Amino acid sequence: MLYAADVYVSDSGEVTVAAGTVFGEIIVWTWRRGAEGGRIVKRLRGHEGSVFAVRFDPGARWIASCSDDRTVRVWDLVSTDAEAEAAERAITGFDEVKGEAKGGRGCVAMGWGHQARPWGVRFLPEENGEVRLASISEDLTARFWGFVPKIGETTLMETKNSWMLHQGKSIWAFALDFERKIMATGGNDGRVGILDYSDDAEIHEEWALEDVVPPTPIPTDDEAERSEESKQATEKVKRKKKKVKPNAFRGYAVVDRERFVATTVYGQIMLYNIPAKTWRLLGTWESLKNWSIVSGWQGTGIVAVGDNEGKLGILDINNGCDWWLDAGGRGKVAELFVGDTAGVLTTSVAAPSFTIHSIRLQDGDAAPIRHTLSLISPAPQNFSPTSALITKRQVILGSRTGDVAIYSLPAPDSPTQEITATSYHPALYGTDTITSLHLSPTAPETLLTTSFSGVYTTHTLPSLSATNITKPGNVTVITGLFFSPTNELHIFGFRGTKFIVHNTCTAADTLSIDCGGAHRSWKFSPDTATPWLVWLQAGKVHLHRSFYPRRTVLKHGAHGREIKTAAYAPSTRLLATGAEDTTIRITPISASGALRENAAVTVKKHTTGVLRLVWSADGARLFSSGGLEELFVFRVRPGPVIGVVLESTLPVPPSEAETRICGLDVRSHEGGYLLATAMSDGLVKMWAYHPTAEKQWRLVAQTVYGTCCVLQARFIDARAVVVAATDGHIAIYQLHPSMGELQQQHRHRVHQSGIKALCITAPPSSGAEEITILTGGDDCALAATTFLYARGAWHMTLCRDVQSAHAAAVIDVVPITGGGAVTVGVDQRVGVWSAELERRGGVHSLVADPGAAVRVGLEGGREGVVVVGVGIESWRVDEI
Amino acid sequence: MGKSSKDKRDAYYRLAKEQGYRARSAYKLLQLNETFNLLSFSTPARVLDLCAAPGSWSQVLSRTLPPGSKIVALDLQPMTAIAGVVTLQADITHPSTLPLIAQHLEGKADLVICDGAPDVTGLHDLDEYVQSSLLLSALNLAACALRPGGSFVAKVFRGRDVDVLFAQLRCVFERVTCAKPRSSRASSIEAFVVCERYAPPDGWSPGLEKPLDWGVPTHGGAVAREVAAFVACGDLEAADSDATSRLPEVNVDGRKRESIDPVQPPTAPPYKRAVEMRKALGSGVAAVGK
Ligand SMILES: C[S@@+](CC[C@H](N)C(=O)[O-])C[C@H]1O[C@@H](n2cnc3c(N)ncnc32)[C@H](O)[C@@H]1O
Repeated sequence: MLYAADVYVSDSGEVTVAAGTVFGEIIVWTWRRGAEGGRIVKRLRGHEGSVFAVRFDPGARWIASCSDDRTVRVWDLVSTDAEAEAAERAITGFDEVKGEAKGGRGCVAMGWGHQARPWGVRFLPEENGEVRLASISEDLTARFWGFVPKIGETTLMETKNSWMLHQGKSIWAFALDFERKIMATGGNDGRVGILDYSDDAEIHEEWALEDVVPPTPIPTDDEAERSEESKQATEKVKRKKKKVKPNAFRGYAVVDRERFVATTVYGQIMLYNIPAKTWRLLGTWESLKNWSIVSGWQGTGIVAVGDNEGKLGILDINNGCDWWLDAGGRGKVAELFVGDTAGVLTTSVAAPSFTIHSIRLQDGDAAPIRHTLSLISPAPQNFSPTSALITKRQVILGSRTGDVAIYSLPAPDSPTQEITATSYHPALYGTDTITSLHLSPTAPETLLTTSFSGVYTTHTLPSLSATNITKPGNVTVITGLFFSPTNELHIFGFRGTKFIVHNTCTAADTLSIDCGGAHRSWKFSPDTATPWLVWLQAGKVHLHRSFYPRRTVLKHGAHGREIKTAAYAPSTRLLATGAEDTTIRITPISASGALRENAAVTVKKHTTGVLRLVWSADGARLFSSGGLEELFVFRVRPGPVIGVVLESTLPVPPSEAETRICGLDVRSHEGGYLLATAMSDGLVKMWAYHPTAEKQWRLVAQTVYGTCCVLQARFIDARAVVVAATDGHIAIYQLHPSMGELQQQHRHRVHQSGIKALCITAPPSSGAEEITILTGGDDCALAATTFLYARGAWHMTLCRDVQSAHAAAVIDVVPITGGGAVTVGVDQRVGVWSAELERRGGVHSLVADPGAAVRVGLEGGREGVVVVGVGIESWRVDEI
Repeated sequence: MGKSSKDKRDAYYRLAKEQGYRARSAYKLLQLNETFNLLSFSTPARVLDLCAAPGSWSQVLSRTLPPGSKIVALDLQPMTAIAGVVTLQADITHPSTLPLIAQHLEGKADLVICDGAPDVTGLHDLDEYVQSSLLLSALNLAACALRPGGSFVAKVFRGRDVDVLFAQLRCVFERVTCAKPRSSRASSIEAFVVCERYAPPDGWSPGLEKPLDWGVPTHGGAVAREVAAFVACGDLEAADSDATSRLPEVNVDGRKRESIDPVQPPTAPPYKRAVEMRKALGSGVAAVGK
């Protein structure tokens, strides 16, 4: 069986075809006009798994291929003589390939690196005698490769670069523009993005200390000299006695977009100019030996330094001046933070207070005017600041143990000498180090914090109540954040050995630098046009600078894997979708039915695929259920930035049973909510949830439906629930008021197998209590069962069905006005039915593996249906 | 990525282990048989099991068919021997496979079964294409191997255009049913076509020179579509493959319950060497960047 092919037509009109088979073979055959048939000229063997893509280079000199064995290979079409093997093989299957790095006969290069299946490979123009390739993969990365061909040998290719470009699973498609050096990629997440891959849009430099620091007389001491003299002393003793600490880089500060300073253990401060590529020694200070802490007011050319004697140095780099002031603490300056304004905060170890200095520079080299104020530590000994936000009016400090303290500053001319914190929040969100604090550029009363554990949080000031807590996962250690000129929030930090900048609006990494990991000294200049990172790795200073735009998103996608469930809140016009990739997305829907994907938010909380989503009637809360008995309640606030906060989690005892909550319904009840859950272990449960109560959750009642998996649960009213299961039955349970027990009133087989869809419709003004339950089954049928409420119970009055409503399972039934319904099937068809179950219309859907459908109101009183699966589609009901 | 939302160890895994079947798939054939009586022959029969590894369907055949029956099982993967079953390692999509089968079957088959499934890629179009190519190959082999009146059972993915496939099968079989055994998860799009009473049209003789292809034109010129009747197989009392059981933390003799392994561990995957390479290169990936 063939999986991939490429065609090359030579100038003389000869056609060459390369075909990759499921057995790892590449069959090359040719055909000439007039010839009877094709002729196999080569069989290239070496891949140990299905060949997913083959590609000729423009001159048909090489063929590139990639395979299930995770390798990318290049084959020589000209010099190798694989003809001998061209004979038809008697039997198919894999050949034994021996040796680790042997690609097979005719294989000139082989590359390892993709962590999952590579789906595509292409040639790029040769560069510096190197053959270049790009490949895309299931592992979400695009990789660029290069090698110098050696005829008759298999070279191991080098990865020149790799970028993580999508979410979920698989990049499927790509296109390259060699002139502008850009690559477009399309992923399973539905996103289309552009990457600027040109090499010169990125610079990387590195220096050893001796390359940049002028030789300094090594500070010797007596002991060292003596050991030099005592020739008999062993190596061990020598080393032990030699107390000289070698010089090394210590810290960095951003001066402006093009310059940074680096400090050394020997007390030097060096300045590097990036465009000019020059290092300059600014000076050597005795008090900076072995200890210094440095930070800059970005863009001003002024840097603050804390020394080992407790002094604060102010260096005016452009004018070559420096001033040293008492930092006001005890011992060395432990930490130093600069503010947006001319404020700088210094701390000392375990100090009872911190000092805030407001500095005003004078003309020339006159000493700056300084005003100081003591901030009393909210918890001396225990509060050690790791981040600070300093404005004219307030100082907010974050600590190593997750505490936050807020100080309101007195007027500048006030005689106040010291102030205490206006509020103190110990372990605001756990005890992880708060790595940075920021104000939102659009909403000044909004504070954002980042934490070492990979969480960033949005709070409202002054109460600090959280409005959004996000753990994006792409950055596992978040060290800071910044906003782009278009106010897109970017977070930065580390993932494994990489420094990552991640755009939270597009959920894409915009920068990824292999720097060795978080445990090193580093500084990032979060400039959106030309960001750069300086860091220490293996004793050397490295600099990486990128020139944007490196990445742009042309089309925002949705989920990384198929969507399983959807819910729509009419009051807020928000669509919630939950997918197999375990995420929930909340997307506003316009009046025309279009999804506003750029305003969507992603919620990561589930650890298994999301199975069911339900909004509260007012749209203020979203309930979601999944595997491992996960059930979450989120508070959702609409607005330009949708706010989502996890309000509660259903408490369940740990169990090995891995029960899934397949069906879920919610209704408002007595100031709280009633929930019905249908479980994979055959149980049906009813819960009461009170957000503000001391004990939020109470199990109202539960019952055993049977040994099969219950798929659906829907409230008829506050006392009755209809459920449906994999055995094709529907059942109605009523809550017995006195006994707190669910009693089965009715059970009836409607479908042959699992009921995948269920909805309840009620005639708008039926005085008698009558409902119709519409169901769709795995058996392709659509059914309508009508019940009447009489004598305290529900009685079935009518049951109709359409056996082959779809060619495959019916996965959702959505009621529409007038009593009819829209159905969606796995056959990728959308059908419209009358209340009498007569087919009114149908269309083909482009959404593969559909998971659910919801009704949305459109402008002009029209009705729409949104179908979700692999992708999202919206239809106007009157056009189906 | 979190755990998948399904428990991989359902009741059928446990049952398969107890009853000595190599895979839980055995129950799919057993339940299909309950409804369609596929395996009740009064005299020795000839049965061809395509895509048979690890072999649980062949085990069912060898336990159910009358003594003296001829069973030929074939797969890409090597298979451990089963008493009374001829096992072959071959590709059903390859032309060399038919003569191989004929050589071992020694006559026309009464039944051809195919449980073939490719590795899914996640790209729906590709997966459906590969699955239907596999099914087409199985159908062509069945057309050549079956006696008139014989039956053919094959796994299908019920997705877009299954109705085209049903219409095609109806051209060569008198009855085509879409069956879903209870042991096949409701959450999977897998189902089985049960094609009964093989009746090649007059004047058409099967052969691999002119194999069948998908899509039969109707009189109007469009492609014929037909929705096959759906039948759920297996007793309602039979275990539900979607259910998770409420297992106690400890089992009857008071020991902590152990998780049960899949019955047959996976064979050597094609990316085995890639995994070894990665290990050899250390935790990181082969030098990224410079
Ligand atoms: C689900 S398993 C079959 C299980 C089997 N019925 C049993 O009960 O043990 C699917 C099998 O299809 C086989 N297969 C896939 N493509 C094939 C091909 N082209 N030729 C032969 N076998 C193939 C795979 O190797 C795999 O063993």
